[in-house]
Amino acid sequence: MPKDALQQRNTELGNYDMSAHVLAYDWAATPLGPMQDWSPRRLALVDTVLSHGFPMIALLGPDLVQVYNDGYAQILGGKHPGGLGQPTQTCWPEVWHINGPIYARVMQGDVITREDGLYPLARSGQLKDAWFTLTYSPIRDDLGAVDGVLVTMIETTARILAERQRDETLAQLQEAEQRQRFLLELSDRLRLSDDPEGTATRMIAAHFGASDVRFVKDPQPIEGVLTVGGLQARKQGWTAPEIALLEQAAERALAAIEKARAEAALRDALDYQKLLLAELQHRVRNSLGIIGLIAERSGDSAPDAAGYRATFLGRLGAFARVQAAVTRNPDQGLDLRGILLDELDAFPPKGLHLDGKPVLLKPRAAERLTLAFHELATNAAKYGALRDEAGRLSVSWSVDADGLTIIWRETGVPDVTTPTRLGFGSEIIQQALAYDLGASTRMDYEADGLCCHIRLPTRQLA
Amino acid sequence: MDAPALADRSVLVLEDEYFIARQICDLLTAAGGRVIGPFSSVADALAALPADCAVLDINLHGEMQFQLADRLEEQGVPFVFSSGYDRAVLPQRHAHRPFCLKPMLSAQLIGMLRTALR
Repeated sequence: MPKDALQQRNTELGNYDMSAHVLAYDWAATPLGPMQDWSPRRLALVDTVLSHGFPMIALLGPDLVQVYNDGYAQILGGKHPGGLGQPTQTCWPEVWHINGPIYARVMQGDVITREDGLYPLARSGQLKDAWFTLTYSPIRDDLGAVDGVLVTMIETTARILAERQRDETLAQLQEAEQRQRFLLELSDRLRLSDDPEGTATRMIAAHFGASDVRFVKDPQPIEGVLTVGGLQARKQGWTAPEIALLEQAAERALAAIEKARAEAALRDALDYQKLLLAELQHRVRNSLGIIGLIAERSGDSAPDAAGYRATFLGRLGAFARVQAAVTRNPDQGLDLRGILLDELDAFPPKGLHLDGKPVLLKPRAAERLTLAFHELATNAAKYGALRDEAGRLSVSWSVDADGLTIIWRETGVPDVTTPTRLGFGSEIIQQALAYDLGASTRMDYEADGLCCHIRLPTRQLA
Repeated sequence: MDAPALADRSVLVLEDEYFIARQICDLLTAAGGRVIGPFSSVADALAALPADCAVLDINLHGEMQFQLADRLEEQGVPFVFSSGYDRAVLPQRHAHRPFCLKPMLSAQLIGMLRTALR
């Protein structure tokens, strides 16, 4: 083209960056032919495109050869300036599947507008999603036939990405808020619950849509069950945020369960302490009652104050010994042999013979038998087998299905007399044992000494 | 001289300790009462009713027993509790009853029975 004609064209096409590119391009090498052969209509269109404020591209002729303005050059990115004069399918093969059908319709005369259309473009080598609001309209030749496609657009990628970012942040915030709300509600309900384990189990099952929710001390791994701390729950497809939330929920629930357990244990301990105090009071008062009685009854046969004192203190000592033994071992029961040895401790062991397998007595039975053995022993020391070297005492016992039989047998006693009146000792053996323990007893004064049978029912054995 | 406090009155005694039972019976007899019992089980005591009044131990062989008290209440028979426990062990329905803490004194027990019988 002659230089002046170029100057003229330059004036016609304005002074934009793309104007120079368009003027300098070798159009003769394209299906459009040299520029001087272009119709005034086409030139006017190109002028309009170049001077337009929106990105715009004209796809001219049946091969849709590209002519575009400064705005569109920016959209082309790395494809500019190579895209000028290229058939659009050659320039944009990656979106031909979208654009091809659209162009076909526009060539038929349609106008097509898309808002925020998605175009995965390879502008800088690799594919990247881009969004455009754009309109495709037909370009006509002098005869009115459609001879190309005019595309006017705004790229909305930045807005779409910002909206996406905002939606995502919003969703995350909502999710965080929901998690926080669940944890708060869990804490509130756990604080008020009498049964934190049940409450937590129900709430966690409902919130996550999980089943088999349970708290276990040493959880064993189970197929298909998630284990978090001491919590197990079954559900398909746990997500990472769900697992994180479940961990927090489990931590709170376990703390509440632990606290409830500690409180219950403390309550039990206090109740037990109250019970112990009541029992102690009961025992002390009953003991005082019995001691009062011993004091009173020790006067029955005492010749003088010294005799009274010895009798009373002897009985009190026996009572005190068995009380101490009962307190030492409240649940285990007391060994019959030990009780006998305690009461016979003061007497020479030479003439003593104990025979029987170990047998344990309940505290009340031990207490009464102690008093009975004390009376038998002091009597034997005064009148019977423990009075002098000649006497022998054998105590034997055996257990059968009905209970315990104890035989206290004194021998070698020269002058046995049957007492004429019921003393305190005989009363204990013959009446108190029967009344208090359901025992049956028999006292036989035989020619060479006393024989005392005591039968205790099985319920008195520990 | 005044008539004995419990003259011609029958008094049922429920108490599982022989010596305490004996002491109570002695006190009652000395006051002119006619003792029914003593009994160490609720079943035996129930079988021995009726009585004009009663002295009831609360803890029998390690268990709190109010069955006899309930029966006497139904029949309108006055009674006195005797126990080594504190009054606090009484259930609400018997909380108003006279309560004699062991070990008991004669005047106290007989006084309570007289008031109850009035």
